[in-house]
Amino acid sequence: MKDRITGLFYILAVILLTTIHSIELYIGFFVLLSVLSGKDFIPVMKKTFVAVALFNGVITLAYILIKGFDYGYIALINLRVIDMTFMTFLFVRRVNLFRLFEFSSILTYLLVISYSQILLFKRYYTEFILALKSRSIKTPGLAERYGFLRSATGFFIEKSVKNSSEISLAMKSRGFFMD
Amino acid sequence: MIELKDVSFSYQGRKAVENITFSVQKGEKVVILGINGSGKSTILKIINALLFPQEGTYRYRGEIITPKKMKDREFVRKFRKEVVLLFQNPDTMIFNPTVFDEIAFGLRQLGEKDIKEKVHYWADKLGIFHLLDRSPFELSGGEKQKVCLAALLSLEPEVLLLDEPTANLDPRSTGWLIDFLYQLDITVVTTTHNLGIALELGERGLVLSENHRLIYDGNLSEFLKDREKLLEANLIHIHRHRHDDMEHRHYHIHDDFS
Repeated sequence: MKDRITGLFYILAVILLTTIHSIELYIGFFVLLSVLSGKDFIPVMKKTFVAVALFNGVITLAYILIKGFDYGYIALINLRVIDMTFMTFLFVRRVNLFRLFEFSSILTYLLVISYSQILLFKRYYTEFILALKSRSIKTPGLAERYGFLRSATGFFIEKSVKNSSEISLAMKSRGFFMD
Repeated sequence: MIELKDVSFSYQGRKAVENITFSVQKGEKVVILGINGSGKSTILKIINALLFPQEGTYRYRGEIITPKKMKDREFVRKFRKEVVLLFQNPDTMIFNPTVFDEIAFGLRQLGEKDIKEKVHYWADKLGIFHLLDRSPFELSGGEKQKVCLAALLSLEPEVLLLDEPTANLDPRSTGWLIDFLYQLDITVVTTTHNLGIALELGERGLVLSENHRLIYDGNLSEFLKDREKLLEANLIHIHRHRHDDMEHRHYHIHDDFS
């Protein structure tokens, strides 16, 4: 029950965060989230930073180049993204998603499938990094890093498509859906 | 050459290897046997200095391998050339546009001059010369594995680590690989869960139990006669057999071809 109530609050907070336009409120909300995160603050903040750095950087730079430096708007956009990302990571850390979605078997199945794919891909990703490290006699150059990224991305896209069709066939085979 | 002493390693609190001690001499061909999840791959990654013991020590040629040691550029250069690892999934090792570039990758990093000759030599030796201009991504699993093996062997390593090298191969390619490894005059450490081919890959076996401990270090033929140890390693099992109208039960080994 606790997970479902937290889930409800999370959804309301997401709606709220997309509607407010006050920098002060965003800062206040971030302070509140920081207090709620307690000892999880540093790991959640690290994850948030890694997740938003590129996106926020590109958006901010593009905005400055096109519209000039508007402190208010730039701060608003960045704070909104940081608040929502931080809140989402904290939510996932604190709430048992399987319990949250147990009211719907379809949502539970989808969650289990997604989760298993995330774990599988995480393992593949670690193997890719280790393989590159193992084969690198010296630090790889830009071209080599680019080649590595391209092949890893290609692998994950191909694997996703292949796994999706396999999972879809398996679900169909087990009577999950008919077409 | 390779010495692991009281080595333990866990992944986020989940034990992978526990209190492992063994050494490998130059030129030995050693097989690490164990069921899936027993810690075989972790041991290879420790030997390849991709993971570091959380307890115990790992020495390569007498040098203790630590994260700090692996920041010494000169040492890393020498180590990565001498100790190479063939990953179980060759896809993770491939990132060059052509098979030629894939084999040449390490040689270019070393700044070698006769790259073309070396690539051609190893491509020819592994029977993939005709694939040199192809993209490695479009090859079959067995071909990819040969490309990766050529890329590693072109560095003329001293230690070849092979993680379940026959797991994705058909019987013919498995036979080819066994013959190929047999003629290599370097130290080879191979992991497998397949008892059927373990004996073909080396005389000495290191066997891991389900609880990630080393339970046997010695002659593989002797190990295969030891039912207690085979059971402890969960490498044999019992079930009913039916032959026409007769039914009986006994312990037996399953390998990939049966």
